Amino acid sequence: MMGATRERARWGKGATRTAPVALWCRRWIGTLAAALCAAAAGCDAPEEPKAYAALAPPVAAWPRLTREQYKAVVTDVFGDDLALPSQLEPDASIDGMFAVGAAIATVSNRGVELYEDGARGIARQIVEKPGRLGDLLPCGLGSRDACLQALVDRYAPRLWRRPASAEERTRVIAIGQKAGTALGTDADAMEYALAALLQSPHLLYRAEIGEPDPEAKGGLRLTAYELAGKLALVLGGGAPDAELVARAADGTLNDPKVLRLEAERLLKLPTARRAVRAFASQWLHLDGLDGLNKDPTIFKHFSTDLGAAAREETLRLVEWLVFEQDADMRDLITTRTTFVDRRLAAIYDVPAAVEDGFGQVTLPASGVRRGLLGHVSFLASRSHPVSSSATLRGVFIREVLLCEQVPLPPSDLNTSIPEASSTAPTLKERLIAHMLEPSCNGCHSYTDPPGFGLENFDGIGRYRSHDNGALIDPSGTIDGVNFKNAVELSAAIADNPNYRKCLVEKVWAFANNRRPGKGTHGTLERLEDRFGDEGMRLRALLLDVVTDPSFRRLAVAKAAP
Amino acid sequence: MSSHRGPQSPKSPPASRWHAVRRLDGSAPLSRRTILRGLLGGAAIGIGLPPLDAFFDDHGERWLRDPFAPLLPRRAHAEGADGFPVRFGLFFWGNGTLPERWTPKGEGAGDAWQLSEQLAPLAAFKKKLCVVSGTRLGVPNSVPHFAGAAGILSGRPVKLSGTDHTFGGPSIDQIIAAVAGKETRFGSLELAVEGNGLSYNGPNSQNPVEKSPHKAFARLFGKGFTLPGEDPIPDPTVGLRRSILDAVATDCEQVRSKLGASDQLRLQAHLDAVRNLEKRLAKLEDDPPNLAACKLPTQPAESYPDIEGRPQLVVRSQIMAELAAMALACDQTRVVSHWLTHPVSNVLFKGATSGHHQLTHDEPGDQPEVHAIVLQCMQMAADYLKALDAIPEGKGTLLDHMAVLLCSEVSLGKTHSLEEMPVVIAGSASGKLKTDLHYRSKGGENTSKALMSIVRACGVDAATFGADDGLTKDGLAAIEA
Repeated sequence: MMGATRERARWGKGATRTAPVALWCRRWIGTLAAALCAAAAGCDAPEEPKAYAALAPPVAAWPRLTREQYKAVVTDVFGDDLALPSQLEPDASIDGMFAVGAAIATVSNRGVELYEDGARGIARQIVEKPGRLGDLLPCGLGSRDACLQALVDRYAPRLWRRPASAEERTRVIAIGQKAGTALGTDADAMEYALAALLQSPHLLYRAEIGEPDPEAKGGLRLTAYELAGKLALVLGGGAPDAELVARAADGTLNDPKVLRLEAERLLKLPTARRAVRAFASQWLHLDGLDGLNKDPTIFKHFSTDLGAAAREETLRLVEWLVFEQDADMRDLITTRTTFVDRRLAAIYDVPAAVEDGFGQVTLPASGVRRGLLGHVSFLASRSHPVSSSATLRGVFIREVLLCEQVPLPPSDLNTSIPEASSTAPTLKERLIAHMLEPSCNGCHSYTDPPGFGLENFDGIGRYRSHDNGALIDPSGTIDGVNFKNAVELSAAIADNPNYRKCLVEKVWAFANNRRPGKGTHGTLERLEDRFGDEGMRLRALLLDVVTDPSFRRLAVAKAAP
Repeated sequence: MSSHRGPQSPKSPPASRWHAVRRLDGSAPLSRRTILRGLLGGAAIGIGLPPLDAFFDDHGERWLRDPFAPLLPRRAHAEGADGFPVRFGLFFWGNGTLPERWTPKGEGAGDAWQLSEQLAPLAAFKKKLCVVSGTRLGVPNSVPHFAGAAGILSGRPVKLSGTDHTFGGPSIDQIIAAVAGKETRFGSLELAVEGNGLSYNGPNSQNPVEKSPHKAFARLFGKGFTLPGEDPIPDPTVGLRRSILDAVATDCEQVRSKLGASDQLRLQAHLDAVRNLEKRLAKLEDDPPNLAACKLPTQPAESYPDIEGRPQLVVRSQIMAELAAMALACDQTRVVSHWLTHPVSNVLFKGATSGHHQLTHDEPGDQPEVHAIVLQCMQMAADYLKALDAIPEGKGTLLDHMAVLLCSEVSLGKTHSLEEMPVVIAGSASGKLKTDLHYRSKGGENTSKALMSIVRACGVDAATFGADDGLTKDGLAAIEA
């Protein structure tokens, strides 16, 4: 059904990797150079993906769990009826991705306060609900000490994603005993021991200490527990389940065959949806939608909760494509299927499928709205409070969907665009006038044309045929491919080789908590080829990424512990 | 429970007035809190409590953290002649000014200068202001807005990693908090009206801001806050919480030694923060400071929803200002930052036809809408200063014992200019900075110099401020008293 009419390009080995305009020349090296290069379409592409190679970050191997991961680990272990802390240390973002920012994120003074407060609240709820701790509360093991010991032995392997050492266990038990003595009950003892488990860096970070790798002399690989913990976060977004812990405990997870079986199993669990939603949210920068701000006198459809609804639409489409359809990921850009509530239906001018909540709808073939680039989540967030922005939309397409780096505007530039006039009434015409400025042309001739294709959608994402009384011309060219409207623009982006390459880079970065960098070029190319061969299906890509040796090998050789 | 701690460190000989509460072994005087705990714990301490009113000084005009303060060695932290500590405040708004309408007329002190059009809302405080104009940021303007933010607040060039950027070192509030924040329950407070603030501990370590007045109130004045003169209820859980933090710190230490260099630094930051919370929990067991002006503020509403797409900036800023003022008056903290808006903020101000940032670039001509927004920002700055100036302290007000830096990350938003940086200092830092002064820098001195003066006035004995092109060793002598 979806995209069936579109001929699928196949991406075999040796497919062209040449970016239409080489990345190196887009870096701001003066207006002349940029203008010359932009004119001479087809500058040679550099060998390495320079957008990343030049920026390889300091490799850190102790990523902090994101807020969502922290909460998921806790609910996976203790139940999803817990009220979780509403505030936690904010996630750090690199290229919009918290999974990558996690490797540089620290914990501030306020962050420690929030974790402490959160842990106490969670621990209190756990001991207050009868039966949540099974035979540990009321203590059925004979003594408070035995129950405290069992608490650590039972919960550390999932909360910390490894068993506690004898010393660590003693420390937690001592806190429980102290609390029991000071406050009087077994519940108090359990509560404070739990609060200690919940604040430990062993929960708050994902461990990568490693062990000697028998496959790579002198290198290190993750230990079986570290691998289980990483796998659980990437494919489940939370804590390892009992079976995965067992594969870590018996060490079999280090066997690539067992690893693949476990990964396949995890991808079939409901938690895989949570993980894919987390990926999509970071990849497509959906987190920022909470702060969506529009002038309601101009945009009648705006309300403060529109951003959250728009995010849900995009996440539902991704989830449906990945899990219900096992679809080619180009469909995300070109599909006419989407999921709307009544507000979004009104913006899209389609009948809502259901009275309450979200329902699946098919956008009319006669319209120009297709896939992600027709979603409010993209159109409204890449606009100004009072108007659309071809530039912001174009930058998103370049940076997020195609992994191309757009240089920052020179800081001392006059950035005014011409006022609307009788000769240039629409935004597109005003921006084209702006582009005549040589100092602006270098970047804007690169960022704006894809945005022009979406000018039929206003600052909130409503269809419009006219801007400021004049007919909009949504035609243009992106990387040598002509398009006459948003439908053709979407098709051009979906079939752009950089879209496929970029998605592989994003998934790899999400899984490994770092950007691709030096030494990962071959890995990425291998994964990209397989992704193409397998029909650009996201679950297959996730499976390839977690079973690739780069997933289980340590990024940097440290002194062996 | 944790062991009882003596209230303070080494002691000088006691004044006779407090002789009765010295420990029987003569080692250290006891705080009221310690005595209460001792009594509740059943220990036979055969001494009476001093009467409550003895905790206040004669006229409420001297800083008296506790009745034993006169016995204690003078604090390392800066304090004025009347004993009140010097406090620091930061009031930041995004997207700059219109410098031609910002810079005051005339130079020098008193009647020699007059407020400009854009500074007019601050008229009520002219005698408490020092306006520094004509300075420029030394740092390269590599990232529009953010380079300016890092440049003015940290004195350092922005630290770049591809499309991402961070501060190269701590922002001024944290430089001061590292010294001034040691003795209070909160090292510093970061309150925001819009945006996420720009308070940095160092690269990639930003302090989260509190945006909800309701949550800010709960954190500052909810559980754990004790009004002066009230007897705090002994809480055994505080000691247990500290035990947990101690175990967490041990975990951090053990892990750290196994990591690579950059991860070690991250774990060290975490560890420092854990130790910091341990110390701050200990403050809960201290007597509350006895400050006449400390009162429980009114509890804010749960939320202040946008009205027709426009945030209630004035109301939210006002409430945050009052919470900050009382947090300072109650000595819960000595460093506050107030983030009205952030760089590149596109918030819809009252009366504006577009987002602020968009207007700075797109509005033609004299930019009347941008001007109106700057005036609104300065009116909210005036409201902020008013809240601080409304707290009586000694013979003056809280504001007199503060240095409040009012600044933005650029001068002219349209061009992201880092020349003619907007810098206003309110309050004299207990007489260490000159007021009713317009200092006009000749030849575009480094803006870092003004911040160096503030840092030193707030009691930080720093040799330099900033780094690389933003580095300075000197303050502005002309604004120092």
